[in-house]
Amino acid sequence: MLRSQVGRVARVINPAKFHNSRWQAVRSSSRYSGYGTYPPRRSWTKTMLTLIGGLGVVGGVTWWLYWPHHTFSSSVAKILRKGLWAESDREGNDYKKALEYYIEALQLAQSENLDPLSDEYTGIQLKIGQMYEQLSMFPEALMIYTEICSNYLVALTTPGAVSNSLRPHLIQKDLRVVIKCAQLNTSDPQMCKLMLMTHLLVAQEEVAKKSAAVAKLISRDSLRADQEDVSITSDANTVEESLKDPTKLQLNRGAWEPFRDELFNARELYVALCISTGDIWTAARTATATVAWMINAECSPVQIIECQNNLGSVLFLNAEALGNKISQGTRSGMDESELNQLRQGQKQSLKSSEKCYESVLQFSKRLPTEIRRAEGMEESIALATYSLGVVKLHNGELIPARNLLREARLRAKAAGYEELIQNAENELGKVRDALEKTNPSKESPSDANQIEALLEAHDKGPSDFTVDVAKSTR
Amino acid sequence: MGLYNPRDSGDSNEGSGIPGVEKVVFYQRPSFGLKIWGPFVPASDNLTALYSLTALQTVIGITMFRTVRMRWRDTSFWGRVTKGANAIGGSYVLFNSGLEVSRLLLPYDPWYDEAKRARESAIAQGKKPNWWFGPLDQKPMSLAEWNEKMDVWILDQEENLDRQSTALVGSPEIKMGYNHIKEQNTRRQSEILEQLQHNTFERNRPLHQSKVALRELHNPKHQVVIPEEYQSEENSDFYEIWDLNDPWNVLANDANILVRFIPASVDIKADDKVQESTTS
Repeated sequence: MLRSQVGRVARVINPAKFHNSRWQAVRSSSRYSGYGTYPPRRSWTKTMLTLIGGLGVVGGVTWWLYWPHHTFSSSVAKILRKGLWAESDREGNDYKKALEYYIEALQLAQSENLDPLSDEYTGIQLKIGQMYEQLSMFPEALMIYTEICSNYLVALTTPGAVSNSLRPHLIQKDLRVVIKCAQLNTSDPQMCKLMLMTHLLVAQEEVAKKSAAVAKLISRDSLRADQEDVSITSDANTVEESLKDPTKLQLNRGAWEPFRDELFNARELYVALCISTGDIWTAARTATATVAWMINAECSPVQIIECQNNLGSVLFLNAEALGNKISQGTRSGMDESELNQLRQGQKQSLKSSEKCYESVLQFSKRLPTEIRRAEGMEESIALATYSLGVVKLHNGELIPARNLLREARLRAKAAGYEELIQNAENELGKVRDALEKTNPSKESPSDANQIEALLEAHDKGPSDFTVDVAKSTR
Repeated sequence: MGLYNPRDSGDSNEGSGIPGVEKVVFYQRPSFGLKIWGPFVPASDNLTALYSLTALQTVIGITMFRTVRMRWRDTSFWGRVTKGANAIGGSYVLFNSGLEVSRLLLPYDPWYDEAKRARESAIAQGKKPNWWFGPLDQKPMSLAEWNEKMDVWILDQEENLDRQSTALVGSPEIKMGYNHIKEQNTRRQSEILEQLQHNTFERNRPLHQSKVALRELHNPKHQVVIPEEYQSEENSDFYEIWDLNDPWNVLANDANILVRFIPASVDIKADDKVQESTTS
C-alpha cells in the first residue's frame, strides 16, 4: 500500500522535476527502461523513507530495550490485576484478599517457568512481601525478601550467570532488598551485619572493576580488616582537607553508578549495626572509608555532611570505648606501655571527632545559599553544632559547650528537629549541673576543676548514644 | 574552543543592560565532528540531541553525494564546480559524522561527565538548565584537558585489567541456603493460601518487638493508586496500574533511608535510663 503510493508520488514528481535531457539519457540506459517514463533506480523519496524507516526501527529497538515494560503472561496479569484492585481503596484495602491473589499469581508464574531473576517474578514476590508487612507478618516478610536477595547473590557470584551489562542493575536491586531485610530483621543484628557485608562486598567489587584508582581506594576498606589497631583516625584529616577544596580531588562518579545511593545507604546501616553490636572499631573504620568514598563518588554536600557527622559521632564513641578500656586496664593493672597506647588512641579519636564536626560547620558556611537551603541541611548543621557541644562538654569546656548547645537548640527548633531539641535540653541540663558542681560561686571554672569533671565523667560507664534511622524524605 | 557571546562582549558595561537580564557568556559546546554547527552544538550530556544532530549531518552528507551522482554526466563548468564542491563537502561532512559517532561510542567521555555534573549542580541550585545546551554559563574543558583525562583513564583501565577478568565466586553453601529458603517459603505460602481460601487465616502477631524502634519503617504507608477513569476491575488496563504502583519503586522508596547518630555525654543523673532509638 505504502509502496504503491510512493510509486505514484514518484510518477507525478519525476517527469516534471527531471524533464531534462541529461537525466533522460541516464534513464534510457537503465534496466528499468521497460517501465516507460518512470522510475529512476532509487528515488529520493524512497531513500528518505528508507532512512526514516531505519531510524524508526532503531528507535523501536531502543525503546524496547530501555523502556520499562512487563511481560507477564495474560493469565498471571489477570490475577495480579485482581490483587491490585483488592489492595486499593476501591475495594476497601483488603490485604488478605490481595495476598491470596498474589500467592496464586506466584504459583502460576512458577508453573509457567518464569525466570526467578526477572523483574516480573521478583515484582510478584515484592508484592507478597508488602502484603505480609501490611498484615504485620514480619517474619514471613523477612523470609521472602531474604529469598529474593539470596537468589541475586547466587546469580552474582556464579561466573557467567549474569551478563556484564545487567550486573549493575541486579546489584542495585539486591542492595535495596538487603536494606529492607536489615530493617525488618531487628532481632538478630549479627546476622544482618553478616548479610549486609556479603552483599556490600559484591557491590564494591563491581565498583572496583571499573577503575584502578577507585579499586585502590576501596582496598583500604575496613569491612574485612582483621588487625585491630587504635590509629584508625588518620583518614579524618584528609577528609577535612578534601572538603575544603573539592576541585583538587579525583572524582569518579561513573564507577559508582547506578547503585551509588543504595551502596552508601547500606554502608551507613552497616555502621549503625556495628554500633548496636558493640563493634565500634569496625564502625569507625567503615565510617572513615565511607566519607572518602562519598567524595570520590560525588555525592551531594548534604549527603557528605551527614556522613561526616556520623563519622564524628562514631569516633567520639570510639574515644569513649577506649576510655572504658583504660579505666578497666588501670584497675586490673595493665601494662603501662599498653595503657599509653590506648590513651594515645583515645586522645586521637576525640580530637578527630572534634575536627569532623568543626569541618562540617566550616564547610557549611562556605556553601552557596541554594545548597544551604537543601533539605536536611539545616538539621545536619544543627546536629554538628550539638555534637561539637557534646564533645566540649566531655572535655570539660563547659562554657563553649553551653554556647554551642544553645545554638544547636535554636537551630533544631528552626528546622523542626524535635529529637535534637530534646537531646540538647538534656545536655544543657548536664552543663548546668556540672557548672553548679564545679563552680558554686559562678566564677569561670579553673583548669583543675575541669579535669576533675572530666575524670568524674569517665567513671560513669558507657555513654548514651542514639541511632536514628529514618526514612529519607529526599 | 569558540566563544559565543549573544550580547556585546565588553566587561566594562556590566550592569548597564536591561534590568533583570543577566549577561551570559556562552561557550560553544565541544565536539569532534559537529563543528560545522558552530554555537548550536548541544551539551555533551545530551545524547539524544548529539545523536540526532549527527544523524542529520549524515543525511546532509549523503544528499551531497547524491547530488554528485545525479550530475555525473554534467560536463558544463558549473556542473563540474557543483560536483566538485559537493564531493568535497560531502566527504568532509561524512568524515566528521564518523568522528562524532566514534566519540559517542567511547566508554568514557570526560566532556559527558563534566556536562552532566554541571547540569545536575544547576538543578540542585534551583536553576533550570537549557535542555539542549545544559547550563548556559558552563565552560567546557579544553581538548588538551580532555586528552589528559583520557590518558589517565586509559592507564587506569590497563592497570585494572586483571581485576576485570576475575569473577567473585560464591560458595556452594549460598546456593544451598537459597534453595532451603525457597522451599520453606513455598511451603509457607501454600499453607497461607489454603487458610485464606478456607477462611481460617489468622493474622499473626509479630513475634518480637524490636529494641531499635522502627515503627515507621515497619508500617509502610503506600497505597495502591488506581486511575480515576477506571470504573471496574474488568475494564482496567493492568500494565498501566502495575507501572503506576511498581513494587520496585515502592521498595526503592523504603530503602532510601537516613541514618543519623546523636551522641550524648555520660548521663550524670541516672545509669539505668537507656535511650531507645526512634524514628523522626
